[in-house]
Amino acid sequence: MHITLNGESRHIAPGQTLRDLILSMNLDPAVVVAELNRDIVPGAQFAAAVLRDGDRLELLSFVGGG
Amino acid sequence: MEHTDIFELGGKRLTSRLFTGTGKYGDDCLIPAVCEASGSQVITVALRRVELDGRADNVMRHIPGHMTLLPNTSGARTADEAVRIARLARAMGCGDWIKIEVISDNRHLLPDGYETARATETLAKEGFVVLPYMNPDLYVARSLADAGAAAIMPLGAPIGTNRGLRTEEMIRILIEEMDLPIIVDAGIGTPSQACQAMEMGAAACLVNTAIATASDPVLMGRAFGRAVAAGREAFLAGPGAVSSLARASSPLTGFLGETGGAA
Repeated sequence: MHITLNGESRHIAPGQTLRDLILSMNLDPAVVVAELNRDIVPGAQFAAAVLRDGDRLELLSFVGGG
Repeated sequence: MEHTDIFELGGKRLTSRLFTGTGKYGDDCLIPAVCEASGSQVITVALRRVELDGRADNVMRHIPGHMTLLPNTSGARTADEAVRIARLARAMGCGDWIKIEVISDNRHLLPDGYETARATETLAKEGFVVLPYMNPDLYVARSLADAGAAAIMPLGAPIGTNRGLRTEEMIRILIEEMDLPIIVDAGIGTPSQACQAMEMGAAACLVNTAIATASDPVLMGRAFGRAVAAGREAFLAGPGAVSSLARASSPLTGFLGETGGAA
């Protein structure tokens, strides 16, 4: 199935959770914030959030800035 | 006597009036040393999409735990985008301070006052401590105050230019007219310029580029910390009067070789 991740189409296996996806990208879930279909997903819910075909997901983290 | 000049902002009591940023460092490993040398207690960060095929740039691991985080909404072109970024930043669990930046002009990076006020109103109602970056315009400042801003952050010169207090007279008006703290943000290039802003009565200065791009950022951070403290003390001390004619500091009587005089 396909989701849109940070504006790009991405193929992922069905049944993946948000936490699965974040870990598969070698990211630390503790430093990532997620917005799934424009709703913020708290970090405590990453493991319970099962991704679905057509989802629009934004993954962000803090970077240097002024 | 213990010096007790406390800057109360957003429910926090700050002893340093220098805010620093985390952008543009040649090596983010310098950030802890800059924080220590400068004495800064408030530090800005930005929020960006993670790199899909790379490692996240985790600037957070370089920020000392005692710092108050001030995420900005850079990248926002509208109030709605700024609100969205602010909510995401708060969801990161780093507190409720937010610096509003709404910019759609990429050449001069000048802030949009109307959209900034809209975002400020929404986020203040949601309990954020809202610090809006703005053009030093009195009417915009008043609308930001009405919208619930905790402080006003006028620019000294365009972002990242190190050109100093080009807007000095407009900032002076804000300091005179506004009850909210005025935090000069953007454009400050040297410690003397930060000192000048503080002498004028600014409540604080935010400095990023001038420190991060210095040859020795740690030493420059220390210089800025001292300059901001010196300027603040000068403001509190109340400068002496300015005169166009010379006024002797030493007595004008009792010179050697004087003759006569009253019996």
